[in-house]
Amino acid sequence: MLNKQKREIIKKTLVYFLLIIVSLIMAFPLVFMFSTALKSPKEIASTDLTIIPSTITYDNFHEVFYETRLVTGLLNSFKVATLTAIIASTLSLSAGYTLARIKFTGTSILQIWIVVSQTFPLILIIIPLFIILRTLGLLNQHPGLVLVYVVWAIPFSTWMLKGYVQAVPVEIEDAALIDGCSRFKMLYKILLPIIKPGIVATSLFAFILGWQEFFFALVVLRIPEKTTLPVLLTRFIGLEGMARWGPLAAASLVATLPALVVFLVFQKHFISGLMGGAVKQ
Amino acid sequence: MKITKFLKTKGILLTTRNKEFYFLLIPSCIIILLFSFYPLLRGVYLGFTNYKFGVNKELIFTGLDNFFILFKDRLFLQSLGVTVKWVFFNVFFLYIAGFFIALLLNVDIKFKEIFRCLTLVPWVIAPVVRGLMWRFFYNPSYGVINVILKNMGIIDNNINWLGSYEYALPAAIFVNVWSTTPFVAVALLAGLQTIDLQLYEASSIDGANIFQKFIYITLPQLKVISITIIILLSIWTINAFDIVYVLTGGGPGGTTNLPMLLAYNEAFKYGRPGYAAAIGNFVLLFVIFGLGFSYLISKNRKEKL
Repeated sequence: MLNKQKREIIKKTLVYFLLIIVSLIMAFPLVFMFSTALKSPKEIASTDLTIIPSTITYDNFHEVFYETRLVTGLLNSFKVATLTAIIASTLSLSAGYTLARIKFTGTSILQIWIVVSQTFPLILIIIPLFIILRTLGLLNQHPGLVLVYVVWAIPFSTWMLKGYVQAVPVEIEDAALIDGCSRFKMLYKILLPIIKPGIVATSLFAFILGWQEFFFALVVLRIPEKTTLPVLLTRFIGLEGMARWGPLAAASLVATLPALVVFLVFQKHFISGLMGGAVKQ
Repeated sequence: MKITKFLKTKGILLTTRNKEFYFLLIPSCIIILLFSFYPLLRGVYLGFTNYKFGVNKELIFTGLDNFFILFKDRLFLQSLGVTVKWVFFNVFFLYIAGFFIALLLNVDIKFKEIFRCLTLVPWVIAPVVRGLMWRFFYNPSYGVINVILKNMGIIDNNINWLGSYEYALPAAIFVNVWSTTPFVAVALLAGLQTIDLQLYEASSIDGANIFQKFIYITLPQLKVISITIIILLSIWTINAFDIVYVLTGGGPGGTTNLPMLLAYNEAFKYGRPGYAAAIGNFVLLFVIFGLGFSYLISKNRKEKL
């Protein structure tokens, strides 16, 4: 019996040890970026590995906020991501509601379209889209990029919201309808408050998508004043591949913050949702 | 009339009672059709044309011409070789690393949630930032990677990871594995948690050791989800763009020039979108093949059930 207990302890120690190594590899880069953002140029270029900077300086943050386009990029990204979130979740809510409540082939089409939009080479979509946006005069314009993101977010957002609506018993709706409430009023007064968490989650998904996306932004916004954060960050690297790493680290951290906050707040929700999806596959 | 009735009972058309739902569905449908479905078809078609930006020439359908040019294009042929290595090693290491982490996270220990959170960190970071970070870590003179490997005595001299023909691709593969492992780990962890624990208990009574349990229970139970993950990973890695664009931009000497980088340059640098779309079509063939394969497997599984 003792032997078994011993083996259990050895096993758990080994698991802890391995998990610590794995966590280090996965999380260390972000920690190190944080420390780099607080270092002086001299310390960044030194070959002594320090996690806690010998002298903490906020120069890098000061520089990116006052001497680069970071603030413009932040505002652009915020504008694009917010508009994407609002429009995509509104459209997805009405579509998701419909697909949740009636038997309709649309559901299987939606499923197929989610797979298609996640797997098809983006270059095939972006070339005609580029031409369409150019014709509409939306190239180098934020609404153009928002349009692209909304289209891209809708399939998955609709799927998410459809799930949330399905979790609400249809009897509640019927009761309101029988009492003489119109369908739209019922949606607004009864269903919306119940599925609020789902709407928040979907909006955050669309927001993060708009905040982090790179490829479409690279193609659609080709003038510096209009670019969103991800494209702006790549401009920190000069022609010769020379980069000023301190400011770049500071700007990268600022860019990472929204997703990090969302993740920390909704961590449990996020993982269980993801695992649920994975099991269904 | 008979046809519409048939369509309604099959759920292809909405029944009269549900007409009001049209208003809720139509906006999304129009947007998707105009800005996603149509561009996709158009993009596939452009791959069979001579379309060029900035030239006022007629759009001519050239059939398979673009493909014949592709297979004489040295850049493309080189890119094919790079892609095979990129996809194979990425999927291989992603699956192994993801499985390893999933097994660790499946053990019942304290602080499980914290470890799970820490392994998911790369996910929170935007792909571009992931690439930029690692570009910094790979820096030839003071990058962390060189410093750590030197301190450990593994290398004697600094290596120019992203600038050498030999190391650029492995270095880029490492970054991609690092950034996609969380997805694989979580998906496999979800799979592990669906396995009936009684299977393990029964095998314990039969005297199976931990390795036998793994090979005869865990692996077969995860077969379907593993195949799905591997197909999905293959499709994602063949479509990769962001990280490699930021890390190496396809260089040095084209040693990391993945098809999407090649296509992006053809379309938006050299103004040859028709040719770029042909590259996209070529990749599309593999995507369709992968999706078809996974469809067959899921159909097969349903029939067995």
